[in-house]
Amino acid sequence: MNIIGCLDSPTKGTITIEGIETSRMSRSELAYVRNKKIGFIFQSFNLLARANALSNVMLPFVYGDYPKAKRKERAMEVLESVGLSDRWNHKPNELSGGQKQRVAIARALANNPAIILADEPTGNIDSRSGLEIMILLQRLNREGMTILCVTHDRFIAEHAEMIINLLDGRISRIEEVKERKDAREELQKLPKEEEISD
Amino acid sequence: MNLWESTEVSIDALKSNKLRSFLTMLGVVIGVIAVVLLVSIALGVRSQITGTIEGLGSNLYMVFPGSMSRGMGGGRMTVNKLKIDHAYDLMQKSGYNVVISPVINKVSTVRYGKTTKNATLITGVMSNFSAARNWKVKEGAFLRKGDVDAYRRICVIGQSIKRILFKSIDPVGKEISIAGKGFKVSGVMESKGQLFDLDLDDQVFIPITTAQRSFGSNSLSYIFIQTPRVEDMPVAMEQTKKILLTSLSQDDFTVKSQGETLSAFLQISSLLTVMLGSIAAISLIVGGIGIMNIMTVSVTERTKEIGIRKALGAQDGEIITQFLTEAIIISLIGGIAGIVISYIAAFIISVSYPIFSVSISLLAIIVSILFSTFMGTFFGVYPAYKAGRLDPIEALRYE
Repeated sequence: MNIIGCLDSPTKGTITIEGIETSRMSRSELAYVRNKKIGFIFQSFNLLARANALSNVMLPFVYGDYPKAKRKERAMEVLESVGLSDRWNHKPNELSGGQKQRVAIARALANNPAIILADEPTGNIDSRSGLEIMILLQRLNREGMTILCVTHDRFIAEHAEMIINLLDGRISRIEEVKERKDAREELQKLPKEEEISD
Repeated sequence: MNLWESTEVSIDALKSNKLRSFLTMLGVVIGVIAVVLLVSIALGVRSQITGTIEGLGSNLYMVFPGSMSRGMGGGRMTVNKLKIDHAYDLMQKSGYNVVISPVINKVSTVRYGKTTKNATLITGVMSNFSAARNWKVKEGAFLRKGDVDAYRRICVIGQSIKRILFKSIDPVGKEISIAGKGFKVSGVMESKGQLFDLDLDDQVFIPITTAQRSFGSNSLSYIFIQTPRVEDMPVAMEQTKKILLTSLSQDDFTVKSQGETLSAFLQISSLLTVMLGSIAAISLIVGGIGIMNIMTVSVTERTKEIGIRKALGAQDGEIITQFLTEAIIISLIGGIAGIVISYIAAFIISVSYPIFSVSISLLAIIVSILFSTFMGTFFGVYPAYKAGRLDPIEALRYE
């Protein structure tokens, strides 16, 4: 995951992202590729606590020479696409777990990356919000975004087209998901919120 | 990321921990105040004393009795052989249109009515003293040639004497008693202020002839010599020495210009300024170490943030710039605040203690701004470099 995300360099083998080989790149070049080609989604969101949602989404622009005049417009656009345009001025501690993760997704999308790397994206939030995140990721995937999601949760994994099982750092099995789960339907199956609160 | 963006980010970071930023700045503020104020006081005193000495006249030199070759002021005389006749001799033989003004000093008691003033400097002078010394009369008239020739008991008093003895009464024409003898006041000198701790206005001028008779001595305290043209000073001084050597030996007198006295003083005062400045600079360095300390803590504390920024594509250099900017902002704001406070303090000092004419020098300001910026950079580099080189994976994992 770290190697694909250009956070680390491989000791053996090569990584190619959109035809660019990244395995022999310098720190500086890797940083550039991270900025332009990779969107990260973390288990613990990793938003800047001091900044509001909009500033968090605009953060990649600061490091990528994105034209200044268009930054805000583009950031609002991606916030809109994750359904949070009305919360742009909220700081992370004023948002729920699911909302925080949606801000993080918006940030990952901001620079229109080649791939989104999600590390246990539903790990820190309740199952209902988790499914909402999965709805979002499935929609992005339908729209043509490559998403690589790391999870321990078989249920979450079955939302993908393909599962690569890893055991002790080695690929143990690659499987096509035959009955791919649809997050929207799964959400319907969950008990209603009122029933939970009883 | 341009400079403005990194400034914005830095200000934001500093704001998020106001107390800490403030305390760190305080270290710099105190350092800068110490430097600016101490140097300014030293320079102020220096310019004041320089002014006083120069006020004596830059075209002025003096003949003292005894040998003063062993350093400043320390006259090693045994018997004072400098007499009024030497002054007359000089008047006759000197060229360059010099003005020769011999002086006899004695300390005595003056009294007017029931008010007595002890330890007053009584100065016996000739009528040319006022012009030679460049010291004018404010009220009434100075001593005239006739007063001197006729041994008259007439005097001109300084501002302090007027204030103490006469208060609001007009002293001109009144009679005061000097060492028990009556003297008529013919005028009041304008104020000349302090020379070191000596109040020049606490002085009474009487004809030199009268002084000789009253004090029973015709030895001179010194002779003022003024050359109308400054360029003539060196040659005139040489000539004075030659004339005096015809009747006196080398050890009996010293010819010294104000410039020599001044340069000796300036040497001491520069040394003092440098010394005070260096002591103050130490506190500035302590402030700088404070910055480094806080920046190091800040880097550790914000490891996660650094990790996030790097994951989003921040270059090492951009992280370094961000932290360095933060350190420079702290020290620069601290420096400017220090200068502003120094200004206020200098104003308060000069109002409440007029003896200290504190002059904030532009140099002190420029130096402390440059120095505090340099300090921010110097003490910020290491923590910033540490932040920039953090491994993004390690940084993201940091809790």
